Amino acid sequence: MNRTSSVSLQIAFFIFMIIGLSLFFGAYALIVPAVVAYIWGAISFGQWRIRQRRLSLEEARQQGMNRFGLPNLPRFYGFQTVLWWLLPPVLLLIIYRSIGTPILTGMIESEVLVLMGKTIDPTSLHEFARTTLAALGLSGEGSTSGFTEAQIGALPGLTDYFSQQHGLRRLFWFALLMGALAFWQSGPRAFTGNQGRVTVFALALIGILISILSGYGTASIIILIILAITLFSTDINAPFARVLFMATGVGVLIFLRDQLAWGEGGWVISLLIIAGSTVVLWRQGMRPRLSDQMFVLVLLGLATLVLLTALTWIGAYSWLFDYGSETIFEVSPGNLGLQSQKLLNAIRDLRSGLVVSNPDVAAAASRMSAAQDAYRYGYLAVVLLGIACGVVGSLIFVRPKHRAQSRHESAANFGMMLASAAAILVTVGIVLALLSNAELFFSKYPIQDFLFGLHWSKDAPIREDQAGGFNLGAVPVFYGTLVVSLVALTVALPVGLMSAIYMAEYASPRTRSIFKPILEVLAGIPTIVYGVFALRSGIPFAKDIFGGIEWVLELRFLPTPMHLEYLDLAIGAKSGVVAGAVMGIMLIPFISSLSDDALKAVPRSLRDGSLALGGHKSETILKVLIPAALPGIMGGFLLATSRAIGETMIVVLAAGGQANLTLNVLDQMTTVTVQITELLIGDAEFDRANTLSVFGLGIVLFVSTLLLNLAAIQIVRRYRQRYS
Amino acid sequence: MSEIRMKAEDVHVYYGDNHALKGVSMDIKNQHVTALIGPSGCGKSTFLRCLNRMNDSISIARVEGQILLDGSDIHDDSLDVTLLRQRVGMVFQKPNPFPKSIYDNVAYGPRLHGMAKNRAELDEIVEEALSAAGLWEEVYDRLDAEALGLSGGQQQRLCIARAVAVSPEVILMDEPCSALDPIATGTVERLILDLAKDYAIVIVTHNMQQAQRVAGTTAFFHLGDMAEMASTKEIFENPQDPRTKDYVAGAFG
Amino acid sequence: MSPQTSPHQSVQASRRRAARRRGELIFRMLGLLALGLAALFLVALMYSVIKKSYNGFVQSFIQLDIYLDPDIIKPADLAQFQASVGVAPDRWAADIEPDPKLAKRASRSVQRGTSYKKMLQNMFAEEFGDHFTGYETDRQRDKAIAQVAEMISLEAQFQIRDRLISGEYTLGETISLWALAAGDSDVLYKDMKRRTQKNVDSENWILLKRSVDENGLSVLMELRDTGRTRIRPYLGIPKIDLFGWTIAEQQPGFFASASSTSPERAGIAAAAQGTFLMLIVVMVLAVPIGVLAAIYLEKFAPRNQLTDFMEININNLAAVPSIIFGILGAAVIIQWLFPGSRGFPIVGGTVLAFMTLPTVIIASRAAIGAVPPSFEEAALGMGASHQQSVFQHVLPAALPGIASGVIIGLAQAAGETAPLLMVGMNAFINDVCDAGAACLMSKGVGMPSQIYQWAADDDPLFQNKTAAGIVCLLTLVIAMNGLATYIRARFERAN
Repeated sequence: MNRTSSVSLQIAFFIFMIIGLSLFFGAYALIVPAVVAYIWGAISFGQWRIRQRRLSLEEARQQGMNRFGLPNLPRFYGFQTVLWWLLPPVLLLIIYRSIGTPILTGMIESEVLVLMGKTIDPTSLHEFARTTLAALGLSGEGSTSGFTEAQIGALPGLTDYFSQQHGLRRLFWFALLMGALAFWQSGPRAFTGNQGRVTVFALALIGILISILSGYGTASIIILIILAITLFSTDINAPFARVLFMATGVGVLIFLRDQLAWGEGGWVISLLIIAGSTVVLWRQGMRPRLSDQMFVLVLLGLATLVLLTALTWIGAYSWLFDYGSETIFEVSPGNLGLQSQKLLNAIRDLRSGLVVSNPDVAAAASRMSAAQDAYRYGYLAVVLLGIACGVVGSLIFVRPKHRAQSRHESAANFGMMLASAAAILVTVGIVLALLSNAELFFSKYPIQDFLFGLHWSKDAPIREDQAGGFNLGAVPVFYGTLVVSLVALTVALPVGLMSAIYMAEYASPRTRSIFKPILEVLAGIPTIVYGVFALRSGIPFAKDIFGGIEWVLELRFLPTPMHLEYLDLAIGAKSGVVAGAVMGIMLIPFISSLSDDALKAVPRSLRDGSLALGGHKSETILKVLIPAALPGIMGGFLLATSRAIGETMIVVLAAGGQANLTLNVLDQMTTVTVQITELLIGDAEFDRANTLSVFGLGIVLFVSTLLLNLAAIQIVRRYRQRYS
Repeated sequence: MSEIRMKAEDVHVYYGDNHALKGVSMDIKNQHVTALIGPSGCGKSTFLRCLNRMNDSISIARVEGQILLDGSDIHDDSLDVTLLRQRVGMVFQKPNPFPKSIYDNVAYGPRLHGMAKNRAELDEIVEEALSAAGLWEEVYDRLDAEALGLSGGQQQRLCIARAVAVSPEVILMDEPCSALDPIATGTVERLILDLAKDYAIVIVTHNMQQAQRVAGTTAFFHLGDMAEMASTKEIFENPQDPRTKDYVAGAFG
Repeated sequence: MSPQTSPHQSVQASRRRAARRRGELIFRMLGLLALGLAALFLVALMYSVIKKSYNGFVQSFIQLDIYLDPDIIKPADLAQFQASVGVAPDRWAADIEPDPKLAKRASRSVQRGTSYKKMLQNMFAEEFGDHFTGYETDRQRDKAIAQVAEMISLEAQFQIRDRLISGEYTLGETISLWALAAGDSDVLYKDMKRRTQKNVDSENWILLKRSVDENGLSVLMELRDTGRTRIRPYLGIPKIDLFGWTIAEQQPGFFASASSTSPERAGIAAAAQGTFLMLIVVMVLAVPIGVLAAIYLEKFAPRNQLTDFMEININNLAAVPSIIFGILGAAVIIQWLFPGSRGFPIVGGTVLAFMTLPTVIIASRAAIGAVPPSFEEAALGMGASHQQSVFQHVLPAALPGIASGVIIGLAQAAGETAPLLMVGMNAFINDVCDAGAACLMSKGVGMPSQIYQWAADDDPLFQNKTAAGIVCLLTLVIAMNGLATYIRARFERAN
């Protein structure tokens, strides 16, 4: 693509994006081009400044810049200038908003309180909150002498609040961060060979033991998974070893904390951990330098600690404010909220020119309206201030420096690493969310009843003798999943494999050009479409077919006395076999493309060899190609299974909701995904056992798909070198 | 048993618009080694592949002319291609044993064509083939081992055994030694001379010395034409065609 | 050919060869059969969907002459209401003094549905009164007439009201209107057969639902037989604003309206908006992170076990069922991080972004890896740093592949239903959101979940709307896939 068409394409894309955004976001979308223009201005300014310096080639070489980089040098300064021009305004905006919004809300509440005719002045409420907090001190456990009755009344709730947000807790997490870093740094350099495997094994055992002893039994599952992955690999090098070491160390620390019932001693122990870690890290050569990544991490941890503690205080303050208004002045927060909304409505009416009947309300509304306007102008002022700071900062701090390029590049490197880490974070998030909630579930309903129980009725009324009041034996649900998947694979595997074989070995280019798009379209159809097709077309069709079969086999075309009555092929409103068949149709392109890849990977020479011996194409395929491509085909089969058991919409619409442990596949049956859907649709409360069973089901689903995928990868990898 | 096993008459091959083989006529003698020599891309392998109709699997290839095996046209509709390929076997440039055991490799063809009524007969066929390929002594105790575990030379001999197992009449060899080291090459060349006692062998080779060592008749191909065909002695000592003269003298190719 | 020349010419052998030839033919036929089956399934799917969707895109209209009775809505009331909402004074009566109190009372009279229902009932009573015989009480007769009036969609009532307020209609005149027919009568006019075991046909459907009685049915039939009904496309245009200028005025129809309890008024507009909002979120989140991660993993990351682990991780993530992401969204985002955000497009978009991230990474890695090393080597040879050569030489060459991978990922995300259901993006939204950026944080619905809502309803007209919605979704997905293929074909250099 040449330069002009690329530029015009970029401009076209840009314009298209603006239009699209403004269709949805209205005038706000204009912010985007404004910001882009701003950034472009920053870059140009930075570049212009450096060009003024007129670095010669010689100077550049002395500074260690490459010749290729010299024309790019302005770009780095442009980027640094952008950072300066963007960060101060954004930071200031965030601070302004965090402070301003609560203030504004407080003002509204004060006005409302006045309007409600209470002889309050909100200053007494502020007084109340402030003195209470000042007396309680940093950890919320200060002296409570001299407290008024109201303040004493507030203590239980406040203590509750603080116990949840306890600063000490925070300190422990900070200590944990430092401890983790220390473990990482002092971890072993390598776990090679068999000794390495033994060490890994030992560490895993410690981890499992700790998690079971501390009640996080389900965390041992994750350790088992890591162990499995590790044992498949041939060598365990330094970073991985250190991660393992660090994870075990962190686990030990958490275990100790739980066992030692922190009290005042918690301070001491946290500080001890921090001191010890500092010593270890210092001896490893880590020094307080901004370029040292570990140090930056510690600083960030400290900053987060301070920030969270400050937020706790702000939270406590507003809690006290609400409490005060409720007890001292007998205004319930709910009522307060209602009245505030009324005032907000009045403000809105005033702005759109309507008349507000109540003069007091009108006065308050106009005052608040003025305040809101001031707040909005404040935004503008803050942004301008930030821009000014940024420009000044860029003028002072962005200067031609040694090695600007490598600085820039290492920053870019770091950014890319973060992006990659994001993918891991998602996995971690999934596993953590599933595990922690599954733990909660298994604490209310025993795991063996769940995994091996034969009765599933999540909506059953509470019975005295049932734990939690529900029957949550998941075997019928697992069974349904397996049956439907089996039907799907029975349909998909032959059709998919044979179509791949035909396309790869027999089809003319013209045939291929017809059927390839057909398969691609089938692959791209969303599953909801298949689901609706199964429900509205598949089930009536199956009813007719099976009705017809029954009609023939039971001799209904003969006079009545000769009828037989041994079959029951009736299909109700939902049916497992229909869902399975349509799911199979959905899987056909998937299996076809994976088998096609597997077949194409077999070298031509094997085909030629078989043909030269007098084999037909079919014989070559059956006796040579498929055995050679078998790992790939098997891998594709396993991946298709994994997709089948995770598929939702087809089964939700066509398979049924009642757990049904039956051999009759024509009957309706439910699957894991259907149950998850039914449990989470609508507003679900996550504290009842039946909603929590979602996580039990989710973990089973996740682990099975994970194992299937891993197995598929392993099979393909391990047997790949068989022929070459 | 006739002298001439196969006869090619004015064979042309087109790959799409490319006229790859221009009117080649040749006789292939029985119990004799015929070598096809010439520079790269001059049609030797193309011609070889015509003889067992392997060009059929190339969709853009078009073959004209007549090729006779024992007097009957191999392109005749009534002739089953699998029968043709049973009678005219092929060994490829790079050894291509199947990812199966040694035994299964050799037994593949016989099983396919139903040449043995029971396991004992099959064992016999396998042993005969491996002996004919000179491999029996080396592998008789590990017939179930993976064929891909053999060395290059052994793999090529295995492919020869595989081809011999179906009792062919002609064996085609497309540069069978070019992927082998000199010692393995020597073994295979001795094998070829041995096999020549029973089969008609056509061998494509880049190596003029190899042609001199094994072939009785040599044909020189040049840019799709068969420039000259004569006894090996004649071709190398007294070439008639100027192109042959140049090639043999080492001027090109 | 002499039989003795070849040991393979025995009768046995040729019989075997014939059997093998037959086997080859059967095998080949099986392959073709498999392909044919796949094609057949596709055709069956498309056919059933498109056939059903036709009746979702067209609606029946009934021609009515309605007398706008000034006794039901007083002209003074109408004038007061017009004044209070800012309709031009020349529409009011000249001797009206705008009074807010009177306006309030007037608005109740002008805006309530019963006024218009009464007008319709009066019209039916007058014009078709002779059909309504055989009732024991007058109340029963009135009830029957009222039922027939219900067969005119609410949409028509809103139309009359809006035109009355805007001054297009005046009280006291008889207007002629092609009114949208309500769902049950629409089924009747479109002659839709609903396949059940009893094979109930359309005429019985309306009686089965007890929407009207036999007399009412005869009125509806007479309207049809006298040519006062017609079936027309009812597509509609959503209101499109660009920087405050209205590009398109709203025309009622399938593309302009949102969920509704009356199937004839149901449309896809809110769902389309929700889907587009979510796709924007996905693009903003998944594309930068995904492409950067892919560049890093492919070009910069050292080949050690950690990156191997990352690679396995991403491959696994790509194969995790979408419902797990939905659970993640529900548990982490809605329950833990931002309570009360159930049903927000931003949450739905975030969950879909998590799902699309691995797809984008894998596709981008493939595109970057397909660029020949000579690109990079040429740049390095001239003295560029590794980063420069990647970002300035390799990346532009890989861009078509990356773009098409991203678009395919977006198409997959647009069609996903399960995560939307988990996250609450299947609310019953009855109008398009016009709050601009705040729409990201108000309850919304996506196209797949809207289809799911409609699909569960057995009403034949809702089934047609389901099919119409599917056609819209399929068009979107297929168009996106086509665009991706086009980009790859057109812009990728022959490497």
